[in-house]
Amino acid sequence: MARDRAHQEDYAGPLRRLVTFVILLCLIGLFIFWRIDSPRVERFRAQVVDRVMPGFSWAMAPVTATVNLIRDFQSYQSLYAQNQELRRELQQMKSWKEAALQLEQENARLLDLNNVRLDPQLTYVTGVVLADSGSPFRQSLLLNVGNRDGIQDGWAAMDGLGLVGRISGVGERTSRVIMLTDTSSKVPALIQPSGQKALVVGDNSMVPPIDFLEDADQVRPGDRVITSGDAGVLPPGLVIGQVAKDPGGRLRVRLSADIERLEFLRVLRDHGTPAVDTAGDLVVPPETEEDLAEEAPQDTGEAVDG
Amino acid sequence: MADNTASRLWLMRLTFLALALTTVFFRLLPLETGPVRWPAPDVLLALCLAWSLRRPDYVPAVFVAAAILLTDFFFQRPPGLMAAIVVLACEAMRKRGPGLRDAGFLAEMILVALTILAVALAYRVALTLFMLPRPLLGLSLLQVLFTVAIYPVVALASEWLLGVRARSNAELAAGRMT
Repeated sequence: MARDRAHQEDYAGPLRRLVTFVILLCLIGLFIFWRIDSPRVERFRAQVVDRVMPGFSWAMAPVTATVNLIRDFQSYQSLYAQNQELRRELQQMKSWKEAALQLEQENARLLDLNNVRLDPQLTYVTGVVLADSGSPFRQSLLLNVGNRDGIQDGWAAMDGLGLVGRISGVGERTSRVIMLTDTSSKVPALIQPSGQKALVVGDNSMVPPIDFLEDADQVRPGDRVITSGDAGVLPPGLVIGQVAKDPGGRLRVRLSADIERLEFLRVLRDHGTPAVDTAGDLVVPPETEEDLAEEAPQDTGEAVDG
Repeated sequence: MADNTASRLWLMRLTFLALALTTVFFRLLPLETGPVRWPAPDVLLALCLAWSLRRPDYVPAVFVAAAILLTDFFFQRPPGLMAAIVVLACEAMRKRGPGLRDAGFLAEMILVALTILAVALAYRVALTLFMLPRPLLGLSLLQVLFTVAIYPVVALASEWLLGVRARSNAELAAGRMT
């Protein structure tokens, strides 16, 4: 039997090398094909994830729950200190709640005065976070809602408070959210109250920097950052976070969304703002043929006068 | 002799695939959804290298390619690139394996550390050549460091728990003679 094996190895050497070579060619071919025709391969990627992920998810939920349980259990050790801290925080929160209530009433009054109707199209689908990107270099999440639920590329994903990212890649049952912190994420933003426009550029850190700011002097730490809706990618007015200054003096955004622990995300349905592409039909009365006939000589007359 | 039967061979090959899927599974768990300060070591790469050095017949190139390609798809990397590099690295390990068999663990460690660094560099150079966005250099180097650090654990665990140990030259010679 051993001789048999040695015999096999003699032939296996060149054959194995050939197979390895073919595999290498295929892999590099796939890579180059991806570089040339990215959307097609990305669709394929979404399909692969879509097929494999549900097989994982039944096991993922309990394991995640267990790890979180163990973490929570560890936190029992610092129960007393935590309790004290929570009490202190509760005190602060009470005053904030008071402020919030007053603001809410004021807001309601102002909305009533302005007769504002918030966008009725802005409904949402809530999905469970199935998995994270698994790579330290990419910041994305996998949600358990997909094409089946009407999710489309480019829609905004939020947690309860602020923007988390946007949909990029939709499978039949899953979809991927590229987070604001990913290096490929660039979100047009508006900084209030100064009204400055800027880009929030992900750089793989918890606090993405603000780039392409018109006038940095008008922006102070603590200012609110919301989406501007420029380029029509995201609906305008979604909360991103607050401006903060890092020790280097660079302006960054402290995100409102708690991106360290995301469990559920709501995906906003956004059907885009229809573009205005005609000239002012409303202002000018509709022209008849007689008008045109009368206008023509007048025009030439004016031209001569001029 | 039970070590050499075909069923054992296929069992170990399937074990390799199962281990690969397990590492993917744990990397995907949504525990830390925010950016991480410390990148996790690439356990799968360490596993591929350790097994290729010890028992190349347990990790045919097809299996390595399939496992890494799957991670390429899952971790949002350019598909195929990392897989091709790792297949090449495993091929290099396969060639060096016999020479290292009786050389001790330190020599193996140095070789593997250099290989892991080479894999990271090759990946980076390829990304640059194809004008693709590159991950932060610091993070990549840290990941290389951690992967090197995790390698002895992976290698020893595979030896003791799964019995993936290199056949010594004496054993091989014995096998050839009969």
